[in-house]
Amino acid sequence: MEDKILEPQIKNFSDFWRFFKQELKPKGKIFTTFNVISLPIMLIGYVLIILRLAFGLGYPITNLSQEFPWGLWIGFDVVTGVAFAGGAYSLCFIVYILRAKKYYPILRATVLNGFLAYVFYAGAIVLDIGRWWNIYNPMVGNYFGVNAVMFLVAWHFFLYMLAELVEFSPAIAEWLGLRKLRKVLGALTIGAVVFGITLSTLHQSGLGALMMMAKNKIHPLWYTEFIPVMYFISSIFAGLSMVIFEGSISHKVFAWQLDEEKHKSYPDIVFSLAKICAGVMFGYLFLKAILLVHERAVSYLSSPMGYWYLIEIIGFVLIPASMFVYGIKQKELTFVKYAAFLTMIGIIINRLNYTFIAYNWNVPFELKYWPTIIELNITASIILTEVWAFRWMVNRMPVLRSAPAWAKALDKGH
Amino acid sequence: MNRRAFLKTLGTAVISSSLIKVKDLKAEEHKTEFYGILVDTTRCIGCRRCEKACAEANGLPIPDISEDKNKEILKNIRNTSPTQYTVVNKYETEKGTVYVPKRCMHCNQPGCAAACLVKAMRKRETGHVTWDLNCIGCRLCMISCPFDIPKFEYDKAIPRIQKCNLCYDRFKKGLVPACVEVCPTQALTFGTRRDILMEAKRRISNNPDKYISHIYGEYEAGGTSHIYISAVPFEKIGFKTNIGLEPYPKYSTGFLYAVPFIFVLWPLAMLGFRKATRKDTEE
Amino acid sequence: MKNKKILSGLVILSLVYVVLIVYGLRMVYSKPVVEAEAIVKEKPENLILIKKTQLFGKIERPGVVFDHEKHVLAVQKQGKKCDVCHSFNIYGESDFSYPKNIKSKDRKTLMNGFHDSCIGCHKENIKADRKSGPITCAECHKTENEKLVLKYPVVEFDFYLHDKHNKKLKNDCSLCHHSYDLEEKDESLRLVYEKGKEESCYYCHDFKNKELTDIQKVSFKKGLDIKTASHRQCINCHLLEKEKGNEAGPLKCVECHTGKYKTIADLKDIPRPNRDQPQKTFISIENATMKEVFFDHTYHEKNHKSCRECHHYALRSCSDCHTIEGTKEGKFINLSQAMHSAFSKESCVGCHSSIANKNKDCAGCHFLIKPVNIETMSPKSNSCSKCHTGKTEPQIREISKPSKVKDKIKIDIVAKEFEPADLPHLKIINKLIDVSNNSKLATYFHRDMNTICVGCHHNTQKTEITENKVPLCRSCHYKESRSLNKTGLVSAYHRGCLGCHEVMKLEKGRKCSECHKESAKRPKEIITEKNDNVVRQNKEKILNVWHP
Repeated sequence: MEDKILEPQIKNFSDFWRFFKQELKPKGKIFTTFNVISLPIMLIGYVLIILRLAFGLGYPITNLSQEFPWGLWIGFDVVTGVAFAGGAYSLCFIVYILRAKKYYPILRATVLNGFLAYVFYAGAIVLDIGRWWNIYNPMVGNYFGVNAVMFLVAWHFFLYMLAELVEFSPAIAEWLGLRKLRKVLGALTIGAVVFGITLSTLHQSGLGALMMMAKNKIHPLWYTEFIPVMYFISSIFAGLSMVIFEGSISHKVFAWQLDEEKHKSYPDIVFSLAKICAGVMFGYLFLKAILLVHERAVSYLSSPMGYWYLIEIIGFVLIPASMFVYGIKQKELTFVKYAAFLTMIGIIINRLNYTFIAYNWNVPFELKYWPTIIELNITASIILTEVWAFRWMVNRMPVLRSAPAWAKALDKGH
Repeated sequence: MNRRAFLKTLGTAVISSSLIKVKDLKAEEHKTEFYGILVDTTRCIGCRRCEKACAEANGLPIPDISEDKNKEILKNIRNTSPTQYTVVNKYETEKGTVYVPKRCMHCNQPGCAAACLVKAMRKRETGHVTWDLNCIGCRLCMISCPFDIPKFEYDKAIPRIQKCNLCYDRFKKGLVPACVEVCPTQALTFGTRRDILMEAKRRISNNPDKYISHIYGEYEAGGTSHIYISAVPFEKIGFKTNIGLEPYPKYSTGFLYAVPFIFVLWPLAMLGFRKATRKDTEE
Repeated sequence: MKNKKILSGLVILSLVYVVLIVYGLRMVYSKPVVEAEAIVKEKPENLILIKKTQLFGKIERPGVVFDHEKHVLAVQKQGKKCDVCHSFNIYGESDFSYPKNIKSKDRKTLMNGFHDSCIGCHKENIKADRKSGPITCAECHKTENEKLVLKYPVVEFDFYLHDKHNKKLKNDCSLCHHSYDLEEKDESLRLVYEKGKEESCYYCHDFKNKELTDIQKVSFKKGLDIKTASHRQCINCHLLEKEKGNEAGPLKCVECHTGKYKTIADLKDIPRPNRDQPQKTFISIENATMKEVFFDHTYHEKNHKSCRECHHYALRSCSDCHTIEGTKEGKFINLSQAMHSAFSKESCVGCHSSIANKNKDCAGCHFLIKPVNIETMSPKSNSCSKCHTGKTEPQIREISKPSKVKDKIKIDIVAKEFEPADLPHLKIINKLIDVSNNSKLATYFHRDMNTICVGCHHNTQKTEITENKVPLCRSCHYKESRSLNKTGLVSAYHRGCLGCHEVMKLEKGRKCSECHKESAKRPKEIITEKNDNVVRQNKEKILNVWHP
């Protein structure tokens, strides 16, 4: 396998540029089903993005209103996307801090996923905020609003992107064959990991803390003082479920990159991740029950919103958790994958609840928020662009396939 | 680094820090008080001159306030909008028709100012809560306002957040807000928050059968600078009564206070775990 | 094989989930269901709603709407009388309770009693081949009546009806009036008639007060609220008279509950019940320090619909309970407070104040005058001697129209966007004088024209006003004043004029253009200076709202 991929000899910038241009050429079939469906959506999406930048956020581009200032882009792209990218820090914690070497094969893919997620969802933020040309203000210091949770979230996004880049950069160095750079970057990994996990904890819960001041607008079944804690805990199993889900796709699509050992260890990895997910989910459920009693919201369960809450908790947290347990016991991989998919849907529902379903839930029906086709299209094009970028990088860099031998030798030094 | 270098650096750090003068930590006295508006809903006659004056003062589209137009407009309950910083609404109550001007409450501790990450929404020393151009348009202020006041110009390519700013520029020139200047019945009066609270209490205690004994905004959301007195209970004239007495920034301080702890403890804990899980053969 | 089973199972599960999500979203995104409000029938037309909420509490089926008149006619057709459904005592009186002979308040017994008697009778009719009422559940407990509420208008037994009864019953008060002797040991002999002590039924049979008197407690225990007591008393008498073949009062619900009420003007010439009450008297007590107050009792009688508006506890003299020191019976309200309390409905000053403040003819001037606590004023002051005139009946003169007052006044001092306003000064004064002269109460207190002037030229002394020289509004209300507690000139005009027009419920004088037209030279803007379009950032102090 390793012989097939030629290591480039890069001594200066023109070498790099030549190599990069060569790598830009597509590998594999061009007219796959996936390409044919996704490319038009993406291209239309890009045109729509230009329209949005030219004309602002009004109707018909989005359905955002004075009652619902945050809609699909913030609710799904940013908040849910960040929750799914929580697999990166959870897995880094397990591999680097708790030293469970078992998960090493999927680590790089997860970190790459996390990095791309943050890059693209930062892009989604730029699209969503109204005055996007001022986006550098919180960084540059055109008044630091230190009493704002959003300030913390913005800075952490930025720093976490850098931390993920540093964590992933060894793979880039291996791709470019720069050995000295690879050595330096390898040494920085543990620092980036520790920094990244700290940042992650804070901004995963920070996204929840953004909604804390909307106390009289969020339905009492969802609003508690512990929203940040619940967001943090749910990001753990959201991220790991995303790892399982995305892993099951990559495993099939990029099967040619994986050697025998990796194929064999794959189900075991999935079952272990499922065990962790199930444990965390049962803990999450227990905490939710305590919060229900603590907030004295039990009587709301028999209202329409209460039934929706029960659908979210029972249908999309309790049942997937039980399915995880069952799948692990019966060693049934399909069960586990399906449960991971259900968990992800549950996380989407949970985050969207806080953004526009349980937020301002008692607004008259005519004023309620539905995403427009344009919003859905732009969201789809952002996600598809991320998938394309992921595919491009996995096909060229040592993400799923093993690192070259010289890199492994450098790592042995640690 | 070795022991000698460590002790050297520690020594220089201690000596140099003792030379730095510690700033006097006495609490700074504020030289100004908060200013606000007392809205007496028993005096408002629904003429909407405040809306017109506000539009003129802030360069917004001027509304038509002729009597026939007023009759038509006042049939609906309106909300403030990106082009209307204040609106007058008409309510039929058991004590007759009550007109209520609705605008930003200029809270003592505004949720919008606490939510703004670039301090575009800020509470000035004189109590005015104003918006500024370094805004990035994230709309968190709209989510954080318990009264739903900030309005976003969705239809513009260069959008702004629009809300009443208590005529801050006029205030700096020594004038009262535009709406206060033109009100023909002095339903709106301007003064320091202390003075208007005292005046509200005086009016209520001198006319016990004319007002209900509650000042809206005295304690709601931690206290606001726009305070209202009324002849009928406030929920009958369109006010939210589930605001609570806690200033809204306090709801996010729980999380913010935890941040430095996590920033210090998490890296320590993780490095500790790493050390603890290190097998002796691995080195 | 196992794989296929799992896959198909998961596909079915996915469909279930899709349905759940769609159903959930539809539920959450739908219009809230507004609970149907009670339907109130204000003209019940002799219908009775059998719901007995006090005994039954919440019932499973809707209450039964019962057409009493229909049943009366049906029973009469059969040649039977009221004792088919109602039990009568030896005197021929009934308490009109139903079902007959069931005293128990037990829910099941009561329900069965209703069902046995109603359905039983209907079944008998069917057997006898007659037209009958329903026997199935839903025909009586109709679902459309679930939220129905029947509201009968209150019967006002006014002086006209009382006089009619008096004449018919030849002034025999004992036929209706009775008192309750608590001291009497034999319970059956407690209801007695005491001549000269006849009072309103409400004194014993009305339970509005929080604390019931001893007699009220007895009637409450016996379930004799005003509704039950008056039905028993009135309908029984009417029924007996009808049986004797005499002309009798109404027996149908709507004939008493007409919803039509007589006004004070209608009752002006009706003689009041005779209890040897004084016509004109001087109110005083033993060893009084203040002079006597002249009181025209007959005039007050003629201007009220019920004696209870003043005689709120019993038909006795005020000073019986409200002595100088106060008594337990009078709730320790002493005589001075009873006469002078400014906010009470029963005191002299309170009643007069409420007329002045609430009556639309008076409120125009009086809404600007603060209520005064008379008891705190010096006994030698002017206002006391208005009523405390001593043993002479005060002479009251009407106010004569003025001669030298300005006809129209042009208010141009604040004219900016509007033309100067033309105030029809003399017209207003003449109208107010007419209003005052029409009311004896007003004429009593408005002794001369200056009192009328003080209505608008308020907070001035009467002595400062002469026919051609009055303090102007602008003397105290400064033109540029915008301060917190001082009313500026523009708001004084608007609140004073518009306020008066509003409380007097005038039709004219409510729109801007009726008082002042828009000026042709109207300035385009109404404010002095503008804001910059957006507040600029600058170096001033910004408060950090995290640290309060």
